[in-house]
Formats: sequence, structure tokens, C-alpha cells
Amino acid sequence: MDATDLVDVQGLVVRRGAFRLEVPAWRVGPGQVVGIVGPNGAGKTTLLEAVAGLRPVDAGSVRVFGLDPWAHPVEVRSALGFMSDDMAVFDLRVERLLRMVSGYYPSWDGALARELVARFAIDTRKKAGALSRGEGTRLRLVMAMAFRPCLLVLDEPAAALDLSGRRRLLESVLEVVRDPQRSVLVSSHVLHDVERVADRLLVLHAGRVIHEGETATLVGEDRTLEEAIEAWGAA
Amino acid sequence: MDRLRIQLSQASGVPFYRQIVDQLAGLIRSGQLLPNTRLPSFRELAPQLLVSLITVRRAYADLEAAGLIACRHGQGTFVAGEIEAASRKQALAEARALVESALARARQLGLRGEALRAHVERLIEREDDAGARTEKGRAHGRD
Repeated sequence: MDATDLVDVQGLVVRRGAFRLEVPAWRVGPGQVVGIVGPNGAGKTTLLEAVAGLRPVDAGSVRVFGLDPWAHPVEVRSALGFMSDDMAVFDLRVERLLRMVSGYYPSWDGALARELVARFAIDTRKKAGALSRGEGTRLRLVMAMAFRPCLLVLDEPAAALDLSGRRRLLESVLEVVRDPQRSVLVSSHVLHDVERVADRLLVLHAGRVIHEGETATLVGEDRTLEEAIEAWGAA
Repeated sequence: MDRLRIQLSQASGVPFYRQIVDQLAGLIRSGQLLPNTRLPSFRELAPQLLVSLITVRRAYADLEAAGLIACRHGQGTFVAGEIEAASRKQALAEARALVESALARARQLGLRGEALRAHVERLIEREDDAGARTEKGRAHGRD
């Protein structure tokens, strides 16, 4: 493993009932946005959960910042921001919730949190449980980003967002990698958004990696990512 | 630094890096971005345009290869300083070629030596006077 790699996956196997995810080798260097694409059931969430230390592996290894995230959840997650719509949040007023969460992270940046709350137009007086689905997504994004994690892992962040929410998401993702030490992993069905901001892609289908590499090289100039995925038989 | 006036269109079918190259080259060639103007780094420009780092990096590499921008190590990316000098040099070369061919033609027609020199000097004086009158006229017009 290159010492600067943020993620290093080798010979990974994760079983989930009848489903089996296999990733022979995959590395993520600093300063880049990596898109994880593939149809439902491809294994995107399983992979991202294994990287975030939320799921044990059956074989092979996952290293994040050089550590096994399942065995070292505190060290890894203090610098890894994970976001998924399925993540539960306490039903507090947003302002109280953010104040509480800020205490979990020594690196929490209050000014950034306020900027993100304003950008994502979240009403901080509402209770988290009373937020719409899109507002809930935006709140979870703020919580995953405001402590300036080295690695930001977003699992289908665009699913509940409208067009303006998606643009703010893309802007926020690209602002993370203004710092060349930080990277973002993002899975999404909104392929033209992924194609737009991802430097590299990992294309999964039925638990297997079918392509990995630079977005422009994989997709090419005369087709879109959507067309490329259809051509690869991974739609 | 002001945001660069670049508008990307997803519907155009033109790759984003190409649109960035074309629009930045246009801003530079038209003088809207002056030589030595500092440009945002590719990491700064990406969130403004909502495109990947690699897209902006590729556009900058193309513009640098075309001599329109220069990446000065450790200082950032700038509009190339030699653009003005280069286009001025080209204009001077064109002007010199025009004068040379006019002189050659005048000699063919029998105007040479001191007479030719006197003619050219008179023409230049008349041009200078005309220029001075125009300047004066402009100054008066402003009053």
C-alpha cells in the first residue's frame, strides 16, 4: 500500500445472505472524488459500509488510513464522515442536534456547519423528525461534513434531493477536495452528476468490479456514463 | 478574485474540458483577462463550475500547451505574460513587411535615394500632424 492511500482494499469478500461482494484490489489516493456506480444490488452500499467500518468482512482486508475500520472504529471514524439516508438521527431540534453532535468530534468546525446549514437551507428550529426526506438528507450531509473528515463517504446522497439540492451537494463535495489531502467516495444513481464530479469510477455489477479507472478514460468523449454503463451490460 | 465568467452547458454535447478551454481562451484573447492575471487553481475552479478536478486540470493543461496560461510553481496559475508581447511582435513584423514592399515598389517606379527618403519623411510628418489634430479634436470634444 502506498503510504498516502486513504483506502486500500485487497481480496475483499463480504457475504450478505445469498449476496456476495468481491473486490480483488482497489485503492483510493488523496485529493480525489471517486464515484461508485452500478444498479441496485450491485454491492455499492455493502462496500461503502465495509470501508466505513460498519460491516465486518468475510475475507481479505480493508484498510482506511492504514487501519482496519472494523477493529479501530474510533480512530477511523474520527476522520471519516459517513452519510446515508438510512442513518438514524435523534429527534431533537436541528440546532440542538448539531450542538450535540459537534461534541463528538474534536475537529468540528462550527463556522463550516453554519455555512452548510445556510447553503442547504435547513430550518434549524425544526425537529429532526419533522424534516422532509430531502431536508433530512441535507441535515445528514451537514453532520458528515462539518468535522472536515479526511475521507467523506456518501451512500446515495442525491436520492431525495431536488435539482438545487443536488447542485449544492456537488459544490460541497468539490469543496472538500480543494484540500489535496482529502477524498470523497460517492455512490449515486444520478449518473450525469457522478460523471460530472468524479475523477475516478468504480463500476460494480452483481457484486463484482467490472471497471475501475479515470472517468474520462472509462467513459470516453463520444458517450455519456449512462451509455457506457449500458454498453458494459451493467445497467 | 472575481468568479470567471464561464458557463458550461451539459446539453451542448461538447466535453466540459473543451468548453472551459474555449471560453477561457476567448476571455484571454479578447483582453477580458489581462496578462499576469492570477487564475483560480484547478481545485478552486472545480467547485465554481461543478466539474471534476480532472476536467479542470485537463483544460488548464491544454491552455498551458497553447501558451495562453502559465503555471508558476508554488505561486499559482496566471494568464501568460508574453501574449501581449507576442501579438505586438507579430503586428510589427506585418507592418515592416508592408513598408518593405511599398519601398520596393516605389523603387521599381523610379523613386529612389534622397527623393524617396524626402517623400517618406513628408508622409510621416503629415501622418503625425493628422494624428495630433485628431487628439486635439478629441480633447475639445470632451469639454
